[in-house]
Amino acid sequence: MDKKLKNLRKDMISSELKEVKFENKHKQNIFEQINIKKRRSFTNMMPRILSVVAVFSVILFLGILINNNFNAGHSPNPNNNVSQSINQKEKEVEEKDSEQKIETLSKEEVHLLMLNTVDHFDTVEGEFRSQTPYETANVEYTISLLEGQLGGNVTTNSKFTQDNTEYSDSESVVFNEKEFLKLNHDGKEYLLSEDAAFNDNGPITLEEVYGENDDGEPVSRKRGRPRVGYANNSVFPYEIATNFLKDYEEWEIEKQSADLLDRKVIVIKGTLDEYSATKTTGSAFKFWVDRQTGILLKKEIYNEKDEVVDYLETDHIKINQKVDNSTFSIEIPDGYSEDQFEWK
Amino acid sequence: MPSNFSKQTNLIEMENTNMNQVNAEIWLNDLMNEYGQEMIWLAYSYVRDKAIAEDLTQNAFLKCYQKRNQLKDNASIRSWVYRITINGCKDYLRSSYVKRMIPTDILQSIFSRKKTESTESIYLKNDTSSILTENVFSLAPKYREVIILYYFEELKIREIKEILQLNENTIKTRLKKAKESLRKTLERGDLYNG
Repeated sequence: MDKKLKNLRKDMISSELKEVKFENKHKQNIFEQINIKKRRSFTNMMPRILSVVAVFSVILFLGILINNNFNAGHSPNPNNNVSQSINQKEKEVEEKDSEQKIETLSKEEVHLLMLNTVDHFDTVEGEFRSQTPYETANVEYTISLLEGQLGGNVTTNSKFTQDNTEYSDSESVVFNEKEFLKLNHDGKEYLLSEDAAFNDNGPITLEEVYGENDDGEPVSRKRGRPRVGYANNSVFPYEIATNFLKDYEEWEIEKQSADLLDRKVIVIKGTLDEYSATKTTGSAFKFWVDRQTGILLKKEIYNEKDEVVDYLETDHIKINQKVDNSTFSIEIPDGYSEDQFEWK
Repeated sequence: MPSNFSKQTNLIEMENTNMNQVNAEIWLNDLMNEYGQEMIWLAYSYVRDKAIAEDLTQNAFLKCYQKRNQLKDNASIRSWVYRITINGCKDYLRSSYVKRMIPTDILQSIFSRKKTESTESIYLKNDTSSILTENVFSLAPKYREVIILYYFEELKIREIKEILQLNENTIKTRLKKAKESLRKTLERGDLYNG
């Protein structure tokens, strides 16, 4: 046996690994990602700079306003309606902003929004229920993408049936900038990894998602996201957007703006191709997508009889509000043992 | 495979000189020249998918770059790179996407297969994968892992110990069981004959 195995390297390189090569393009990708990070860290400074500029502008504006009012009160001037005029202008700006909030989004914009949700919020906290032909789940999550405060806590309670027996499963995923912890509450097992940080490889384009190399083989760049377990299906719906929205002939925007859970959503609906219809036991779908972030707040898949066979529904959600960072600390509960990585 | 540690010294020397951005990128470039091919083969041995192995290898080198300041002076850079790559592969295999196989992910994996078949299936069809290789891939992952590291990567037991953070006896036991399993399968020759 040893003799045979001593030829393993030669054997594998001449067969299975023949086409597996580390090439210059891989090195280029890596350097490109490093440079994206550098650019992004500069870009991250911009909001701070802008907010300082904005604060000074407001102070200056208020100073002018107070000065004008003061002058108006002391010298009767037929043109003393400056503040009224400013108020009017503010109103107009507000109205204009409000109109912009419901500006029409194209299919491509909606698609990209869902693929890149990670770029459109800082914190999110919420809960959703989901059901597939395979299992039901309840997911509670708190996630922060803020620089220096990256972290998350996601708890999932699910039930599934296998060989006519119903099983329940409860797991938590906790991560911060340094560590990633997964707890299996039923088996009282944990998995601790130092590999917590996600690869923030920058927004992706449709060309990158559905790209092809010179040989016509698909080459897809995935958007880097934190590992958030089940919450991925709603908060970072990359896979759902990639699969369901690929063919623009098969779906349409039903409503550009609707209200759901105090959020503005865009409603899209479409049909599934034959293959995905078989897999999901459905034939059509409808998504309620948060307009600001691309988060999938609600999903329904219908069968031929228009019955819901697969759904995801958010019960509550808070976006860009202060979250409790203490829930991101890594603590292994008493009585939990390390998952021995049998992965069989 | 990286034949010696000659570059290792240079790499560590660079590490110790409080490297600036340019030096760090030169260091990374050297690191990739030295270990790139080996790491993509290693990643493939865990996931058996060319595209995923490419992603995992790129991520591993990015991590090396990000964690370059955590490399201790007296540490073996080779073991460090191996460990980062292997941890990335295991994290990928452990992740909810793979373990749970939620329907949308199943769809995605099948979608990509619809267009172009995986490296695995192409090799199986063309029958270019040898019986030995095929049997190694049919081993349970924890047995395949030690076989690959010992026979393919030609690492010493003490190096495997450092990389996998397991004790020597565990590694030896796994190697023994893996070889026993391979011997039985090869003797039966039932892989292709059913």
